[in-house]
Amino acid sequence: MGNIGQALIVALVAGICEWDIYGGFHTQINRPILVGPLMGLVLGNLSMGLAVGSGLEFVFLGVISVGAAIPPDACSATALATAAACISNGAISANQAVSLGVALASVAQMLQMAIWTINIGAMHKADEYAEQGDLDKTCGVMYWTLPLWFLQGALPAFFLVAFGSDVVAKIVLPGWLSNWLNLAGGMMASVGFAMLFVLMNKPKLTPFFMIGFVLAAALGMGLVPTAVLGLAAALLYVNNDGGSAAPEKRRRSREA
Amino acid sequence: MAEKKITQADINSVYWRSFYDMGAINYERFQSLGYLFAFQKVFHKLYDDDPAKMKRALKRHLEMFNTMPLLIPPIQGTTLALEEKIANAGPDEDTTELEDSVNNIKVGLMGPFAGIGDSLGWGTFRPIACSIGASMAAAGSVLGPIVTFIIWNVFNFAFRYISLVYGYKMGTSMLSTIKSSNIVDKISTGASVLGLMVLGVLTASWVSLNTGLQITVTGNAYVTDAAGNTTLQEGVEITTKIQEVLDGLIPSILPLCLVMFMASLMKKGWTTTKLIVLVFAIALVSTLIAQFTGVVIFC
Repeated sequence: MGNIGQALIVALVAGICEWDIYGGFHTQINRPILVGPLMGLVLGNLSMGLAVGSGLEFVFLGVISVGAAIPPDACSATALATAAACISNGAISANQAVSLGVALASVAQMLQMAIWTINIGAMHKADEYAEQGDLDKTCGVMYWTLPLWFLQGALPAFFLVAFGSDVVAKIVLPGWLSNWLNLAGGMMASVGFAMLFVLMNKPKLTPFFMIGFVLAAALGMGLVPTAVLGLAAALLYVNNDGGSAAPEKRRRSREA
Repeated sequence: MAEKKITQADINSVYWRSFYDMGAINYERFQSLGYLFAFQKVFHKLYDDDPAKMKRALKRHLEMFNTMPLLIPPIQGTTLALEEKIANAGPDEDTTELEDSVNNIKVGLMGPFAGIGDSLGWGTFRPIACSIGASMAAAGSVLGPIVTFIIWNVFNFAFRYISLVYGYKMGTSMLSTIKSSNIVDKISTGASVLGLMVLGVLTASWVSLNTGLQITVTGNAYVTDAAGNTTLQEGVEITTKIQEVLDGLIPSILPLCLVMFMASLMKKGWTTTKLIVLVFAIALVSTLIAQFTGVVIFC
C-alpha cells in the first residue's frame, strides 16, 4: 500500500487548493494553472501538470461566479484530471485529461452546492448564539464550516490516488472516444468566454470585442500588447463618453 | 467612560480575518457570518461592556450580505467607522439611527461593488493574469504558474489592505460619494471595454474549432502537366477545403461563431452546465459521423 502515503500528500495539496476558493485568502492557487503544476509536482510529472493545468485554465478562464451562482468547480476537476493522467502511465494524454477535467467539474460543483446547503444549518446555529449575545460562539461556527472546503477537495483526490491507480493504469481509450474528448476539449473554452461576453457586453461596446478579435486573429497580436491597447481604449472611451460632462468642462476652461 | 479608539492593531486584525469572508457561505445569507468573523476581536473591545449593544451588533451583521469578495474590505472599513461611533455613544444617547445605517450602507454598497468586482476583477483582471501564465505553461515553462501567482497576489494583498483603510477613513461618506458621482458607472464601463478587447484575443487564440468539410466537383479544368503545357481536360476532380476558404477570409472565424452561439443561448437563460453538455453532444455527433461515414464536420 505504498499508494496511501502518496495519496495523503496529493489529498493535502488538492485540499489546500480547494480551500483557497471559499476557505480563505483567495490567492487563486485554486485556478487550474496553479493546481495542475502543483499536482504534477507531487506526483512526479511536472510537465504533465503544466500541460493539463494550462489546458484546463483556458477552458475555465471565463467561468466565474456571478452574484450568487456557483460555477463548475475547476479546481477539484484539475486536481483529479491531472492526478489521473499522472498515475495512468501514459494511458491518458494531456488533451484527454483536459476533457476529463471538464466533465468532472460539474460533478465537483455538486459537492460545493451541498456544502452551501449544509452551511444554512451553521447559519442558524450562529443565530442561536447571537441571540445569547455570545460573540465568540457566534464566530466560532466558522471553525466548523471552514474545514469542509478542504475536505471537499481532499477526499476525492485521496480516493482516486489511493484506490484508483490500478483502474486508471489499465484504461485504453478507443480512437473515437479519444477524438471526441479532444474535440470537446478544444471547443469547451467557448462556454466561459460566452459567459464573460454576456457579463460585459453592451451593444455600444461590441466594437471593442471586434477590434480585439481582429488584432489577434488577423494580425497575430498577443494578449499583453492588446491589453495595453485595451486600457488605452478604456481611458479614451470613459473620459469622452456621452459628451455630457465634456462640454461643461470646456465651457469652464474657456471662462477661466 | 474612556473613548474606544480603533487602533492600527485593530485594522490589522480585521484585515487578516477578512480573508475568511467566504468561509461560511450559504444559500440563505451568503457571506454574512464571514463578514462578522472579521470583527470578532474588535467587537470584544467595542461591546464587551454593553451586552445589549453586542447582541444587536451580532444580529445586524448576520443579515443577508453578498458581494464580490475582493470588495468586502472597503465595506468593512466603512462599517468599522460606524461601529466605533455606536460604541462610543453615551448610555443615554439613542443609537438606533446609527445602527440602522450600518445595514443600509452594507446593502447600498454590495450591489454596485458586486457589479464592478465581477466585471473588473473576475471578468478582466484575473483572466489576464491567468492567461499570461497559462500561455507560458502551455509552452512548457514552469514560470507560467509562478507569474500568475505573483501578478494576482501582489494585487490581492495590497488592494484589500488599502481599500480597508480607505473605507475606514471615508466612513459613511463612502456611500454618498458613490451614489452621487458616476464613478461606478465609469469604472465598470472602462472595465468592460478592456475586458471585451482581451476577450476578443482569447476567442481568437484559445478556442479551437476547424472544419474538415470539403467540396469535390468533377468538371472541366485547365491542368498544367509536368512539361509545363496547360490544356483543358475533362472529368477532373477539384477539391476545395472549406477551412482554407474560411482562413482566407479571417482565421478563427469558427471559434468566433461558436462563442457568439453560446452567448446567445446564455442570454436565453441556458446555464453553464447545460452549455457544457451541449458542447459534448456536438462533439459526439461530429465524431460519430466521422467514424461511420468518414465526413469530418468538426475537428
